[in-house]
Amino acid sequence: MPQPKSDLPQGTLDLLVLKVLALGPLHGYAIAQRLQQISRDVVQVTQGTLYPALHRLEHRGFLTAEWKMTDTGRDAKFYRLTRAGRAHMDREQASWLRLTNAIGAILKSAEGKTS
Amino acid sequence: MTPLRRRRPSADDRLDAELRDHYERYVADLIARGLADPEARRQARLELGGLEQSKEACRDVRPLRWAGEFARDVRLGLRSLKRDRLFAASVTLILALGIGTTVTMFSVLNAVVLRPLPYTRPDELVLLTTHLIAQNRPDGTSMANFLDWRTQSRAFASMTFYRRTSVSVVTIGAAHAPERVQEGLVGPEFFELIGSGPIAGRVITHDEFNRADPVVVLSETLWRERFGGVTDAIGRTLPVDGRDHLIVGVMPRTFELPTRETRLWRPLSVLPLWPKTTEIRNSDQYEVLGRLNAGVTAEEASAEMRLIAAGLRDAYPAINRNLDVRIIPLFEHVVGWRTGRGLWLGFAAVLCLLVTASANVGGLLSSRAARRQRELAVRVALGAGRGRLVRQLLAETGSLWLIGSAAGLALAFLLIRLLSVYAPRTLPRVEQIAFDAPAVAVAVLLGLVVMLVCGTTPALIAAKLDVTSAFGVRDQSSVLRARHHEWLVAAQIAAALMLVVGAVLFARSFVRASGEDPGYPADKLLIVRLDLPRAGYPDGAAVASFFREAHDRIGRLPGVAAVGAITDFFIRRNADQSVTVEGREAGRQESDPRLATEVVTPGYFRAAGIHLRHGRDFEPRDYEPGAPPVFIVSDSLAQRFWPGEHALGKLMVAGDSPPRDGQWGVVVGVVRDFRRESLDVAPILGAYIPSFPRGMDMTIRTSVPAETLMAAVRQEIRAMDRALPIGRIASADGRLRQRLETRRFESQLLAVFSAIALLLAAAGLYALLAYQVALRRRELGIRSALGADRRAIVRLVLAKGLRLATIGGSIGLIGAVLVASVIQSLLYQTPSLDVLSYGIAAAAVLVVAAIAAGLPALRAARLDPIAVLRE
Repeated sequence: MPQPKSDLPQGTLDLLVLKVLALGPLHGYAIAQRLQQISRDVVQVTQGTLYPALHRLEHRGFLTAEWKMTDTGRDAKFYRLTRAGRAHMDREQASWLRLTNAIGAILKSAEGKTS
Repeated sequence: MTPLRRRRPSADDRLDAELRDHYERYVADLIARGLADPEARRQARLELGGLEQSKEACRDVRPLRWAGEFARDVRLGLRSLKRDRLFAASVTLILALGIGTTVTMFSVLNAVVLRPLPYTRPDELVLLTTHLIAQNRPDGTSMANFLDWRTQSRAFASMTFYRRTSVSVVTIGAAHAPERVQEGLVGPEFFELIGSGPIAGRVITHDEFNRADPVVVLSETLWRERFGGVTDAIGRTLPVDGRDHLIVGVMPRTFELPTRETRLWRPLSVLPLWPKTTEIRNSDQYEVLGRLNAGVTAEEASAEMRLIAAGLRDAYPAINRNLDVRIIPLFEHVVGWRTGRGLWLGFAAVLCLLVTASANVGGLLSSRAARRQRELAVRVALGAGRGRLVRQLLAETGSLWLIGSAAGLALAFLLIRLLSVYAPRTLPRVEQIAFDAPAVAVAVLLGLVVMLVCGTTPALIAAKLDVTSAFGVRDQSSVLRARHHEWLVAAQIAAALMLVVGAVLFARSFVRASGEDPGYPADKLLIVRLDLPRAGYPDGAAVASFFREAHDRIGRLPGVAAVGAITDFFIRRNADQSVTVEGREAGRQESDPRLATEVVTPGYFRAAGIHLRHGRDFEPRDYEPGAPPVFIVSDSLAQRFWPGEHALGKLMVAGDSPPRDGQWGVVVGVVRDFRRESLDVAPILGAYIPSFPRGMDMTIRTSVPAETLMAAVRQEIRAMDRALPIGRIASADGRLRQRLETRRFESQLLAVFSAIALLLAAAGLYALLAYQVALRRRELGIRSALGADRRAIVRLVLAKGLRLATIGGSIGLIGAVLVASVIQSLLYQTPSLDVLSYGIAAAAVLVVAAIAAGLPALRAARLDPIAVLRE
């Protein structure tokens, strides 16, 4: 049974998708699987959130896509990270890390005070 | 293997394939995990969420999504309209009617009333007229007064004078019959003051004016008729009044000064008496046109000119004591208040019609939306966003609007073509009515307004749509919409009633005017205009002998009963003259009614059929040179000046002063009053003198239809003088009819508009009730199954219809009463609050409403309860 799903903070899905694609081109279903596997089922995305995100990134030029034959013999749309997408990913990752560090620091200091 | 495709896969196809691929993979995974196929599919569908919603979310991130979507919506809209042809056709037809008629009326209004005159800075142009203080009427201006005005005034950049004559004769070659045309005899600054250039050649120069050169400027009309519009007409000669004139230029058709009928212009100095005129103060032949200095208003100029006129009264009391000056903006002079008001009224009427049409279309749209509730609900349930649905319905309405506007424009185009034939020629600037850019702009704008007003209803319904109830009982949520729809129908009835009231009032006014007795039998009466040129007829004796012979020759024609002649059978509106009666203060008194003095030939009254009440008719001896002066007067004149006395033998004279030689004229006869201008103008006082002037309307009483004698009369005159131009020739009743053209046009226009509006309102009411009956089939079926009387059901539906008609009708009546005072001045002998007219209109609307409500009522009563309950 899947674990209770966590809502992703706004904008993080884009970063996660870019990160997963940094390892190599994948199609949409594989991206969803990969996200679920890596997060140990915490991150589960529906079609209704994943595909709009993919298409938005594609329209902004961070991804390119092409239809390719897969191992199962069916055509699938493979997404690949572009150079602009990689740069965007690095920026987003840096800012995400900065933010989480800061939030972590705040949480820690607050814990110190109360204990 | 890729299957053969007829078209490139669209973005939507690819999106679909991608999402399906995802779904299939998930199903495959689930099966691999051990689920059975159908169960795997069910779970996949549940977990992945709605396919259509996902697609929508993906489409939303597409750049420029709305453009593609709009095109798609329009396509979809057109497709759904194609399925509902009757609906689409009715909406298109109604929109076309509303927009087409409005655009047509707007074109008329624009061409005649709104468009500025085609001259340089036309707002600065004004007419200056001498005003007779005692008589309170305009008069011509003398040259001496004009010169004083010009030198003393500061308000004007320039001022010029002209004279209109209608006796100029153009004879061109032997092939053409001689013709009488109107001419403008103009001052040297005339053309440059108005600021309109010629389309060929040049205008008259100051030098030519000063030398009194015989030069002539042609109007475009004359140029085209006589010279086929070729430029080498410039430099040729044209005989005017028997004298060759050099053609120097051609003015465009749009140049309509002094009048629309002006066909040529000559320098005023060509008149033999010109050199002496400048010193004469006691003559009233000229009209004056001025251009105001920039920034000076007509009121300021008027104040200044009145001061100048007062100064001239003091300086020349003998001649000027009765003279003031008035300033009329040229625009007012050209268009006239009655025309302006009539056309604005027509435009208001057509807007009423447009309101009816819009409300009707609104009703059609909202009942269609109500019928489609289920379809819309299904689409919402399948994942269509509300905004999307609203946009799509708007796109559908938009397509209707496009088609309707296009059809409206086409209709307007046809109507304007029709109008150019059918509109009364008396309408100023009528030939400028055209299907042009402003008309198109108005059509587009009106279409947009109509769409916004009535096209949003279905979209609102979609936005408020309650999916569950739409799937449930059919008619529960329709109450609110029905109320909205009922108001639309009431509005249609209100607007239609206002139009019908107007149509009835104008029809009654027209019938009243055309039913007036002119005072003589107008049928079988032929009128021929003749003006004898000085060239062939140097003196009074020659003129008299010509007319005597004409009387004899025409009188001998078979079918002719009597012949006479009068200076002007129809007098100009506002014509007014004075007489002096012995024993009464000289000249015209302020309280005196209008009066016209005319010269008539022996036999005139008999030919015209004007009854001689007392005394005798003129006899040949009255026409002998040196015969004692005699008068015949009208009944009204006799009563005015000699109330309670016998007019015969009384003494009077034409003009403002007693005769210098003491030779009074004797009244020898009294004739019945008759209408001198038109059937809608009461008779004015008449005084008649026996003589043979140069210009006369021959009046021919016939025993056969007057028109059949035209050719024979023409031939007789030709036989007497080949070179003599024959003026207008027409039957008296024809000309009387023509003088009521404007009234006829107004009343027919309103009749057509109100008929269309009434029909639309009836259709609207019928559609509403039929729809409601359809909605309430079950209820009505149950009622009649439970034993309700059929008559009760008929009454139920009929009462609903009549209630709406009464509400709408009352609003319409109030509206009509409110605007009544505006149309009063346009009506002849018909009070604008005429109770009978309002009653007729209200009755007409109620009858039509009863018919429109009766059909669905009968259908409701005929419902078979068993069939209905089985449905």
